[in-house]
Amino acid sequence: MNKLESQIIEIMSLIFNVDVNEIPKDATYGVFEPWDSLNHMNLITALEEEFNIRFSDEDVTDMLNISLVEEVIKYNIS
Amino acid sequence: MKYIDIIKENRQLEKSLSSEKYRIAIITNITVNQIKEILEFDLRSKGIFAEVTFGDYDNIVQDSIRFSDADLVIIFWEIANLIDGLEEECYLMDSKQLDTLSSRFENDINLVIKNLKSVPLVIVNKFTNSAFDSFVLSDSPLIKLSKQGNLMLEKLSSNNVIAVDLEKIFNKLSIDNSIDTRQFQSSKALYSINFFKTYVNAIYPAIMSIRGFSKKILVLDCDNTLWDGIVGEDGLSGLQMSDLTPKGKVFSEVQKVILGLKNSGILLAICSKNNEKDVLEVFDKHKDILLSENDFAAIKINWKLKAENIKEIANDLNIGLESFVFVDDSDFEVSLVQQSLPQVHCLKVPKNLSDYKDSINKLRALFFTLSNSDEDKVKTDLYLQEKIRKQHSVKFESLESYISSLELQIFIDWNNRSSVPRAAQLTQKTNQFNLTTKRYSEEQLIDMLDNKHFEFATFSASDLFGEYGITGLIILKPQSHGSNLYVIDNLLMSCRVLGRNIEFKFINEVLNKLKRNGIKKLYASYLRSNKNEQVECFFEKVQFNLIEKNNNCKNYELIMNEFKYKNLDYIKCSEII
Repeated sequence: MNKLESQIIEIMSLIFNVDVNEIPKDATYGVFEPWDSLNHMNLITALEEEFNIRFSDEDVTDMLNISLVEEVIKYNIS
Repeated sequence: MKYIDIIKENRQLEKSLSSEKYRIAIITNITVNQIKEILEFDLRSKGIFAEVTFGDYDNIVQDSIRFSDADLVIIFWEIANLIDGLEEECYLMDSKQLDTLSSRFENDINLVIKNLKSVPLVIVNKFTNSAFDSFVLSDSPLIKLSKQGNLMLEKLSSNNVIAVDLEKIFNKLSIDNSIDTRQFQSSKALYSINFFKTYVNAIYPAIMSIRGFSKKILVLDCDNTLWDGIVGEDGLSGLQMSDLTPKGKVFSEVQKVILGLKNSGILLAICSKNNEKDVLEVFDKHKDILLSENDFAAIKINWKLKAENIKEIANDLNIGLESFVFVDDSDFEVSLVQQSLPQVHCLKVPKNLSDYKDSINKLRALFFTLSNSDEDKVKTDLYLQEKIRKQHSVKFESLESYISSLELQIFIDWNNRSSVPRAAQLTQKTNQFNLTTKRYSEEQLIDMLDNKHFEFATFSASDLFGEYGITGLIILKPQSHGSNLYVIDNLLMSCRVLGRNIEFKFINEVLNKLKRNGIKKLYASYLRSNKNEQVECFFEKVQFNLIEKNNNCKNYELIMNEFKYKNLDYIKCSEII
């Protein structure tokens, strides 16, 4: 796991209120139970603060699983 | 602090706190879930075990019934979401439709506030449409609707309902930083995380006030704090505090702000390292000084540690150290006080003098109290009388002979509606002599009176030196309707009148009356708080029998037949019927 990925998972574990180990690698928005629309919004807020970025509307709807979240963050940082 | 760190720390605090929960309900027609962790964290880190529950989405009227027993209700009522898409829809509606909407809305506001009348504190946001309307030359229909709503709120305003002006938060953060419409269409979320952080900070003084944690006294240094210059070096004429010089103007304005604080009931005190004579001469003789010696409830001008002086002031005036604010221009003094008395709020005079007036002004939030009674305005006088009393007491050998020389009188007043504002204030502010620390709003007390489930008596006191005003309260209720078994719901007394045996006189008179009225048995409890240790054994002293005891609570009963009236004849008592 790279640094960015583990950072994302740690934030997710706090937002979803589950242990880091309980988040499956393929966790998906709307499928993994704690990742509902409210928590998606909270996740967006936490990621924006953490990386000092602002997601576009598209970014928000694109970030449907962990690797997509990672992609979108990388894109916004660069 | 970042949202994620707030979440992390809030979860930690949840595990460590064990006090009684402070139940906050948020009722709303938009999504504001992010406020939960921020508000909980903010209050928990100050020792209040807050727990936030949300009502159902867009169910404000029903929720106002559901949460009528909460400790605090916060209402986020968004005008643009009265109907889905109203921010555009409103331009398509004709005036009749808008009128119908408006009268339904006014009805709802009325209903909601009435349903919440027994909640100790209701925080409702003033209506605004600034999120969707920035056009300055005319008002959108929603702004008109907001104005009507706000008029309604103003009409319904009472001591337990606070209307929060969101525009001031928008001004502080800018509207772009407050509003985040990205999730408005999909999730009806409107506010940014920064908005919530600022909002929580802004409403915090109201919560502190209802919990009895407002600051009460402002302790001020003198040189370079009340005036420009050092009296011991620059002499009387070298001190600047007039509008004529730029520096002097700052201090003249600061003095005005301080005087304003005093007039709204905040006590002032001096704590300065100086020769006493020099400083008093400034108050007496300087042509530009606005403050006078009599504006201060306590004056400590000496070379002792400031922390020691502050402790002495706390002791002299019977005010807890957590009620203190201290202002000084010296980093050294400020950090020393901060270190030895962490519960005191310290302010250093800013390096940039033009910020000084503003930072003093901002202290107002810490002193915020929900209820204002007439007694606040003359509070300093009351404390000055107390000073004379203490000097008088030095002359007497025993406490009794001192007390009898005071010519104390108390006036007991039963179930008087006009005493309700002061009675509510006493329940909110009294910490030390407070047997159960149950806090009540004016509305709750009125309710109790109206329903005849409760009876209450207040007493006011006076002595040789003046009036103390209404300083004590007992709330009684029958165990069930019509029963002759009674319970003492609360008994409290302001620390102003401690040490004079007034509490014994009062309870004796009350108990005697209950006995005369045929009450058979009286139950009472002592509930421990952080501050009421001094009354832990009060009920034992007045003939109650302890029947049950654990760490935080002692339960008592008194069989009225066994009660023996003790007439403390050095205190006169009359009853107002």
